[in-house]
Amino acid sequence: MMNKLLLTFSLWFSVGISMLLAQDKTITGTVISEADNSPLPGVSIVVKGSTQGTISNIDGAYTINVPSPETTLVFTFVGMTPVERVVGNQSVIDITMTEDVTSLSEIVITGYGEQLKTDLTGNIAKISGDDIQNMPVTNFEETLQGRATGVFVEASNGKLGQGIKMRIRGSSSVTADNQPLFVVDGVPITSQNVGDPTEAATNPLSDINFNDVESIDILKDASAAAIYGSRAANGVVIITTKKGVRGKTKFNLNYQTGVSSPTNKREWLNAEQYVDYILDAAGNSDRIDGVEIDDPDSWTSYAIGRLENLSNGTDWRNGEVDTNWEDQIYNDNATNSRVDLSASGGSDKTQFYISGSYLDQEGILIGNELERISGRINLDHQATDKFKFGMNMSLARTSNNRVSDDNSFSTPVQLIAQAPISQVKIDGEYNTNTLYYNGLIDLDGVSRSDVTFRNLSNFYGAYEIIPGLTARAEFGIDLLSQNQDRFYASYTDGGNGTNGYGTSRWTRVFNYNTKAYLNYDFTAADLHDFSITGGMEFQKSNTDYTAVEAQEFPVDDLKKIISAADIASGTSNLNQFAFLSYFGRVNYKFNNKYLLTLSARVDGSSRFGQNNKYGVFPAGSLGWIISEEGFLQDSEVLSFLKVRASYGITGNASIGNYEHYGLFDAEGYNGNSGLQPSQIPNPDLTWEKTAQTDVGFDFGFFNDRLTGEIDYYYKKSTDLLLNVNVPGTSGFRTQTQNIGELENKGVELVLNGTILTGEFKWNSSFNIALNRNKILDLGESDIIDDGSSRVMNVVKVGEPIGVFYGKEYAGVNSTNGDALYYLNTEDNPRGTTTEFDEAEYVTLGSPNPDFVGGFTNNFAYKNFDLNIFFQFVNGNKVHNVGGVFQFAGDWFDNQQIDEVNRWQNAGDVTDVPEARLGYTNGGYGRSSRYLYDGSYIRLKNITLGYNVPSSTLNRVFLSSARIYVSAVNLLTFTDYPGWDPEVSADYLTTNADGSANNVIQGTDFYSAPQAKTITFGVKLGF
Amino acid sequence: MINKYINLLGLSLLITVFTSCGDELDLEPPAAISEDLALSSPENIQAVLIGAYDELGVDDLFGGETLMNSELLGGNGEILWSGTFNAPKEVFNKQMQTVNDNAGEVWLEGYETINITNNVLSGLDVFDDVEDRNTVEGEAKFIRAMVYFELIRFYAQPYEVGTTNSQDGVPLVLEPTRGITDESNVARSSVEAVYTQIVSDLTDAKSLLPAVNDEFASSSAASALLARVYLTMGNFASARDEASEVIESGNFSLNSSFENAFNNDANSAEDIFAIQVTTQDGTNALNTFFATQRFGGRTGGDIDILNAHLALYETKDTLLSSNLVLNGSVFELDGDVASFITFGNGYSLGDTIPSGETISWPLDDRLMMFYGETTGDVLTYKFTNQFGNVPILRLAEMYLIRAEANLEEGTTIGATPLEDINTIRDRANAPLLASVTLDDVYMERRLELAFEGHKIHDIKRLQGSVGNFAYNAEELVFPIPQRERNVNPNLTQNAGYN
Repeated sequence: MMNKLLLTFSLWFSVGISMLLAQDKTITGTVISEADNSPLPGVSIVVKGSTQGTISNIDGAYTINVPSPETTLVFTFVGMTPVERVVGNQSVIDITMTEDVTSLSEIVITGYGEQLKTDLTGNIAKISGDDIQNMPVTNFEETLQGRATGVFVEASNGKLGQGIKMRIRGSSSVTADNQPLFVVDGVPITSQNVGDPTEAATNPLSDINFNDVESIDILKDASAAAIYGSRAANGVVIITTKKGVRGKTKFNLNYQTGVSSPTNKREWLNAEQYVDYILDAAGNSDRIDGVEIDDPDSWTSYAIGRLENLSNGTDWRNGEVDTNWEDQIYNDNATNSRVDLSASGGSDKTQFYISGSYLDQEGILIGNELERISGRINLDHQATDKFKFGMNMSLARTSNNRVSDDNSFSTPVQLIAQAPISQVKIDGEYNTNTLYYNGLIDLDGVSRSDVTFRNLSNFYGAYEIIPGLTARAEFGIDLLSQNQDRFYASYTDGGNGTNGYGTSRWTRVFNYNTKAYLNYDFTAADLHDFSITGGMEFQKSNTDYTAVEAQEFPVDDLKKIISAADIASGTSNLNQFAFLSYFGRVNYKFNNKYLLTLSARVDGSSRFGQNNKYGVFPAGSLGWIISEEGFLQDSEVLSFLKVRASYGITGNASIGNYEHYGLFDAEGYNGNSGLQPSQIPNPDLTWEKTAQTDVGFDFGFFNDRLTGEIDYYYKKSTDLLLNVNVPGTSGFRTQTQNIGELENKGVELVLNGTILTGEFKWNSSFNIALNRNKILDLGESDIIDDGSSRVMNVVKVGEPIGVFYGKEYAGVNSTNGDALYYLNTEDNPRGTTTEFDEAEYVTLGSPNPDFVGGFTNNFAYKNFDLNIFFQFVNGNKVHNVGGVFQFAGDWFDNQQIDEVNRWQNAGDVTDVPEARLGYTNGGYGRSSRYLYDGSYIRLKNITLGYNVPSSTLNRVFLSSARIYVSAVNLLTFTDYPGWDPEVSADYLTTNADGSANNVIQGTDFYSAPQAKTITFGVKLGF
Repeated sequence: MINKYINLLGLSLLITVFTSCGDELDLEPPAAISEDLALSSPENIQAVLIGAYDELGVDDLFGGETLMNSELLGGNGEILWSGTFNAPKEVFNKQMQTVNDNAGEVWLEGYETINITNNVLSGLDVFDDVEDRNTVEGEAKFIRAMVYFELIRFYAQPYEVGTTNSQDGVPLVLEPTRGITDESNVARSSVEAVYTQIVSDLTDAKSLLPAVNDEFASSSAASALLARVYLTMGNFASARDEASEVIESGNFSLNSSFENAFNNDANSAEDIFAIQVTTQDGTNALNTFFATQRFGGRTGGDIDILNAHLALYETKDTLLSSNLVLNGSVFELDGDVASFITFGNGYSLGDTIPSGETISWPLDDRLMMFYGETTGDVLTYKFTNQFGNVPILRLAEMYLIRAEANLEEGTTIGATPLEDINTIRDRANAPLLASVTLDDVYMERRLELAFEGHKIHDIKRLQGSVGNFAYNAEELVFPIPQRERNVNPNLTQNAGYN
């Protein structure tokens, strides 16, 4: 090991290049920005064709020696259009730089380096921090929705701070995690659920204050991502936080406040319709049983008894009480506010960015609130000419008052199941005699508090060994400490058998990371540009938790476990993983036209078997900037054209930590300790591999007024880390094996246009991505069906992951009101049956969208600006798993309004079967009856802003001031009849161990709709 | 100079960081041990046996759900499933899908238990102490037989006395799993073969086990289960003898009151075998589904007891000579009014029944084992202790088996059938019988053993019916779980499912 390292080092040192240049004329000048005429520090001024250059100082001033009057100076600055000037006989050259609206000149972060987008041969989508600033959402991922092509983001419901699904170019795994790797300032962070696995997933990314983010770079293809090796198969999201720039200290104060409401409400039976439905249903069941309705044992008698009871003595026959329970579940004026204060600036040697932020957001569901306080210090210091060091450090406290998961009687949305003839309150107290537990009692009686402290820090030192050759060492920490405190008072559903019930769970994730690498940039013979990177990295993550559960509290005011008389259980455990990696990359550019990138990473992981600890992940890509060729150089129309192609192999290692061992777990019985076999050994267990080919074009027309990218990719994942179902007769259910194959292929398109310039500015960006996922092989079996009677997502060869697999609903027999199902047998596919069991299972649709995308337009006129951003998802199906209760016509749950269309008389033509109390008539969950089109287009964000003119500002000592009003999710266009088509019932998105479930998607089970939020804000700079 | 130092510092930092990392990739799980270690010593094998009990007692099995499944499948008019779970609702409606969760879990948890017992039985050679070895072997075989008996009765057509019973049973797995191979795809054995295995395991267990064995399986427990198995097989003489042996052992006695037979934290005098539930471990699933939330069950209670069941118990009409306030003080059972009043007479808790009214008065303590909720629903009191044990084999059942078998055989081994039935009735303060027929015994079983998991098995054994479904109807047999058939091509499905 050590020898290898020394060898690497000496290799680097031996490659040295120096250049000597004559210097005879001195040029001075100042660089300013066109936008506000302020000086621009940090602009790079280079003598064209050489490495000789300088950088403008705090006042934008510069001095440079040039060899001759023919010399051309190139001025470049991030985000500005580069300027070239021939020196001639001038000695003072002042420059005004304009903001670059095209994306081609951007610098993208590539992982252990950065690169000019023009020179990129891989596929990296960049999102500017400015685009996502101030969005009134709590999760970082939500801000990315629709912004980058090929990146699909879906929130599971409208609860705050919970898990979110993010897929880059489709799902590459069936069992292992499909979330991308998140890297913040070089540190691979903890992004999976670390909370109590029996509850809905928490989201560690909600600890990130995205107003501190400078840019987000999403590494999509193998060439871009393979440098992250065994964790790159799902793409990599690199988050870079803001840095100070030398110059005057700038203070920014931002304040915003707003209100949220649900995107949609539904309609339910009112009291009269409900009573009508129940008596109809009971009468029908009596007819079937051959019982007179006035028989004391009849369904009708039973139903009347229940109605008497549910109405608590009120006149249910005449609608004395008519409660719309859905009105009870929302906090219709959920407020939110946030304050950010930041200072940035610095001297030639030291730059800083310091920020503090406070956010308080109420959820649209009663009792749901998230509060976050965060601070950040980013420092960079140039110690000597050659040595630079710095740090990024953030600390956040996120406090989330949660509501129970979608599958709990106590979750607010389940209130809609209550009978409309039941009162919300009786004598000022919440009604305790309701069909199901009245979840409103939880408002006062239950607290579910999650408090997370999060420290993300990174320290680096960089040393320039010779010009162009830099050694860099980094040490990063992601420390996450989470406390989940629960208390259920003695009068609540969770605490009433035990005189109160409380739990406390502390989780600490210490995830650290060290790395060291060399970067060497040089140009040989003026034609060959090299950028070479190589290094090593080590990461280890320790997750410790302790949890205690207690009951028998003396009074409901004493909520901490110290007051409990009975400690029901206590536990603690440790979970660890480690990665040791070596990586290298060469970027080569010949004559500014021909591009080549080669990279490789060797990863070792504790998660894999002794026989397969290390894996190699190579990638290569080629690019050709055709527009640099003579035959296109003078084209009036085409200003830029690049073709690029890449191929590489990435891995997925996101499985449990110890899955290769053969194990016995501890399981006790009646106070005696015991052992049980828990896992069959698999010493060959290794990564799952994804080979990805990408071919793309980058283009610019009309002097880059219209730019864009188009990509085709094919990703094939093999040796899938599959939780293979094994015969239950073995005593085991599953084994993690490397079996199976799946593919994702797709097309991505981005178009950016500067449509109008001048006084009225208009630019526009459109992106769309098509992805087709297909399971190719699952080993012995051709289906993994872990569905239940309710849920019907399966994994099936030849179909996309999570395809809905159930029986096809055929409507209603108009003569007798029976629900019908298509047989779908080979000899009689369109024949129908009333017997659910007789119908064959068929694939009914996919939860994966056909295409997703976004469309944004920015308008500016004088001091006003307007941003309109649409996001769309198309072609996916959503299964209302709650339909078996909300629209089955067989029990006392209130029904959705469509139940009024039920079959009642012979000849009725309807697709709603006859209601039958206690009998299932069309109410089976695994049928297409509750499956709907989930396509939608959403006005995701609209922002109108006004920038106060600087003439006014100067009088009040402000450098900038902006007032804005912004709305998120203002409009949603969809045919989905439920609350909101962006949904995945939270209790189904995680497995029993808390890991993400990739298969069950597009399910709606009393899931809260998304929030529609309108905010007003001011932003001041001084 | 400074630069050199920094150079050197950086270099040495890198080297120290990276040279020590290789070992860091060998991370052992902190909460589990290897298979070799688990089966390496008598102590460890005894621990694995404890693991088998734990698995036997999970909620899906004898923690209660397999007993509840029997009650739901056999339930017709006497109970009502009013809960929200689809799977038990399908069981109750006799409309099970092949993906039915209850049908799936009994199978999976059952075979997990069987595999643990097979592990125990594979490791007996490490024992030096013969007595310890025999006890461990006996317990493992008892547990294995108990699970197979449950599986064979749910997943196969019933045992038909006097036939070869060649109909498909369940796969017989008698060796521990060490890896997944083609041989893991075990086909179904015949019903006869499975019963033969059950009898063989229980016979071994009976001879190996000590007479008394704390809360674990004893030779009496093996006898008691054998009695039940023989009764199912129509082998009345053997059933009678095993039952009589348990009664005569003197190790058990009926509790003084019927109420005391239930909701116990430790085994009572009449418990021959019970699944132990504590606040630390185990789940009493009968509590979960039969009790309401104030006793730790699900909201409202998922299984309502209907009039038709309450009407089975003997009552007498009683003229009230004064107002009766239903204030919870009449039949004090945990402070609640016995609900036959509130339900059977149309009154609710808190009502006053006026003087001069005629009401039904219970003549059987077992009718006092019900309570009414303010919703008007009636529930059973048998499972109101959330952390109470789940009775599996009670002495009362042995009296009932002996009575039935003696009647069938025309014998009076141990006692006359009338004596045995009256022993049961006397304890419940029910009127004693003057003579007894087989139908009387069957009825006594319905009253005494209500909701304890005998329902569907008695119907099948006695070739009765559930509503319109004959005892051997396809709808009364569980489907082989779809997931099993997806992975094991050798498994056939039961008739009526596809």
